Amino acid sequence: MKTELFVRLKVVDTTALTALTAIQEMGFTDCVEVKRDVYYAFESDVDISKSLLGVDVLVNANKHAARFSADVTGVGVLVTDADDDCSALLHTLTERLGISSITHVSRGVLWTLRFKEGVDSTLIAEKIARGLLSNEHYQKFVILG
Amino acid sequence: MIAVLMFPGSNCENETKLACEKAGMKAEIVRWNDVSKLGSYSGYVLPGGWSYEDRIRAGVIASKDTVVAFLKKEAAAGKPILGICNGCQILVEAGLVPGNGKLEMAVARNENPLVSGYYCSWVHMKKTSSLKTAFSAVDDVMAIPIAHGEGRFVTNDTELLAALEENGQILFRYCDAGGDVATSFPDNPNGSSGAIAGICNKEGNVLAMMPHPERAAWMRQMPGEHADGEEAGPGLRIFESMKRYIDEN
Repeated sequence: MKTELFVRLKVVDTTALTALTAIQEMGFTDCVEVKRDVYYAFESDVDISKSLLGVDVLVNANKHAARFSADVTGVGVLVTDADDDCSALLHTLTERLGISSITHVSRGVLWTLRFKEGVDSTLIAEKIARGLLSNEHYQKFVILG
Repeated sequence: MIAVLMFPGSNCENETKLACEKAGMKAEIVRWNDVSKLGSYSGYVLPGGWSYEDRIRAGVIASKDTVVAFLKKEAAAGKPILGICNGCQILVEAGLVPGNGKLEMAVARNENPLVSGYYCSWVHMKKTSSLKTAFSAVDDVMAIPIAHGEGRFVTNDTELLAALEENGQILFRYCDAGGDVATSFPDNPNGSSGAIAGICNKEGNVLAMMPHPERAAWMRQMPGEHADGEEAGPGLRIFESMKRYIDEN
């Protein structure tokens, strides 16, 4: 079964704020808010939700909020590294932290962009994804929402 | 006068300025948002560090700054521009290197069997091009330090590397101590395509390199014992070459 985990900072996310500033300085002034989640997807035979939240490697409850579904109020841009096999993370989770049922891990960053009303937000989000949020030479992106 | 451009998060500006000065150039550190005197400089160095904390990915935020748009004009005017480590990442993200006016490459996360993320070590690199550039008057093989987490030159353009090779734009490649081009880790410390350590534009006045020549500019910085630590190290040749280019142009 597939388990998706979305991890967002509870405190101010300066990376998201910097991204918003850069987006607006690039001329995309219809973009008014950027949120950022670290995204993980796990394959396993059993439900590992509780186990994932129980290890501090992925989520520190003092500063992170974790969900098992995306909170995309706007347009989501999921960026992943094309050649990131997550082998070190998989090893840590299965061998050191005992979540041995995990067979595969992938990860990325989910950017959620909110726009002014009345604009073609998906089209603008795609331009932002190509121009800033991803580098096509080693990353991929998909538009969500 | 050389401008050593300091972005928020740069951390090698002082030693880079010192290397420029040891090579006989006057240099000053210029903040990224001080554009008042930019046109008055004869060359530019973008030093290492973590501009904007590597937010989103290394170098990309700085590459959108006004000062980098200005650098594109200075590059077109033939002024020498050297990007070291994070400066290299900025130049690549800005499309100043390889220099066809668009994003043609990435400096991606290292592929390294020892560690994921940041890695620092002494490596060797060699000059692998006969193209006359602003930075070519260097030793054929030099020991030089690297320190980065994202230093792997990659491209999804299947014809680009061959074109760069043909144009002589792959100025530096990682190699072993004997000068044979690296085929694997640790000689190639980050999995860079073609063992690329530094790429220049076609005109040869813009160089993006991941190793740190300013950390190999004095013999006292080099591994081992040295009779005179103040003697020039191999990395200084790159700055001296830059000075020669400025003097001749």
